Amino acid sequence: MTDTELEQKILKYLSTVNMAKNKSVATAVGVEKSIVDKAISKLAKEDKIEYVYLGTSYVKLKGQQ
Amino acid sequence: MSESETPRLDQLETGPWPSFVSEIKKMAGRKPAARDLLRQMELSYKDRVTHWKHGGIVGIRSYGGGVIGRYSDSPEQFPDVAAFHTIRVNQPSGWFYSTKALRQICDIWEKYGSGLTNFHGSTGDIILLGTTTEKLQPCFNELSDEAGFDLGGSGSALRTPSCCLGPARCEWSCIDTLDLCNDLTHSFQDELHRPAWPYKFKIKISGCPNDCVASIARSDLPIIGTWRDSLRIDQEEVRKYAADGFDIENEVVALCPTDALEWDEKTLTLKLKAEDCVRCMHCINRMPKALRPGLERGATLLIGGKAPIMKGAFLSWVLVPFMPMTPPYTEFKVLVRKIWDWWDENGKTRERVGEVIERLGMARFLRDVGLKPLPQMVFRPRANPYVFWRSEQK
Repeated sequence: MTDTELEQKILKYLSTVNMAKNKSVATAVGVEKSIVDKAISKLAKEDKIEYVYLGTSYVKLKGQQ
Repeated sequence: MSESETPRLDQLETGPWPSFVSEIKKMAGRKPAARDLLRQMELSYKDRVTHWKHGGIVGIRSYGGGVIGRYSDSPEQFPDVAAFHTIRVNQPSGWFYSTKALRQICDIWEKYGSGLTNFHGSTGDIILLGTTTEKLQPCFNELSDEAGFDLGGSGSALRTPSCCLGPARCEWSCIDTLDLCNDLTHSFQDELHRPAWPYKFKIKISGCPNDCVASIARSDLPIIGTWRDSLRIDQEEVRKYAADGFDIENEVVALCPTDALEWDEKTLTLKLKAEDCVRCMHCINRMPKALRPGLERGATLLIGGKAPIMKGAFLSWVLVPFMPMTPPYTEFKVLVRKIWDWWDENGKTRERVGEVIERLGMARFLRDVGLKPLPQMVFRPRANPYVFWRSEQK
């Protein structure tokens, strides 16, 4: 899977949930968490997703309610 | 304020030591929050129960940690500490400040907070004690934009790395603790500010095995400077110690934990069996002019130290007996990321990495992070090394 494909998969998964922990994202897309961490970090820098802090860190699509 | 308001606290001012009560009283004249803090504390001493409670989530925009929410459980009685949040500010490596920086912090904190500080908390951070929810963001903005400080770690994240003052003031430092601490802090900003792990993770760095920052007991991953060759002996200086009446035989040689030293009374020579030396630093501490650490320097990495929460307190275990520690510290960073991934994968909520290792076994941990078992990996001093035999191996 290329980086772009992984990022697309992550965005697709996040569109189906309110928010998710990186670990859940990794399970959902079937890729090692450390690789997903990097992809999520890149997507956050690109302003496509945002972090939510509720005791622990979650990610969600930017602007998603 | 009237002393009759806090008769129990007043007793804490009567001893010969500096009193935090006196310090808070100094501020109470200017800051109503400091006065209510004393009054609430007096009630706690009377009731023998805390009157603080954890509140909702408070924080700085785009940060997941760094602020610890505190609320009074009696806001009607103590309105000025109804919200009394703590801010952790990332300290500079080795706790070196210019007076200008200190004045800036104090000015900002008097403007936005109670004026009460704690230099430093046991995490190593500057602790700014007591502000309201609405003042958090402007306070942080000024701390970062004007004074150049950042928040420290809190929650289930990497806590602010801390280190001893290292080569800045100590001749025994085997690694540049200050640079390493600064580098790790900058490299792991995500891990520091975005709590995503089962629980907290602490890195503390000591320049030599004296371990002045007590990293072995206070951090999940202590980095302790050491040397791989043998310690250096200046026999001329040794003879001067002897001539000055220093009892080398009893004060140094007899107290060497592994009998690695030998004192020849006739030739006034100190001999070392380098292979037996465990770098305890005792001889160097007693005869600093004659003995010095070796020249091939790096660090020993340990793993698993923690205070009691889920389980009792752990001292860290040796993980890597020797690792060179030079910028950009790539070998260390690769290893620590592997450890985090393993812990994140296997840890339960609020389980420290040492507890996961204890539950699943050091053998599995080493296998999963790709480290070989070594004789230095003992459970506790003078214990046998772990047994790494697996039942499926014949």
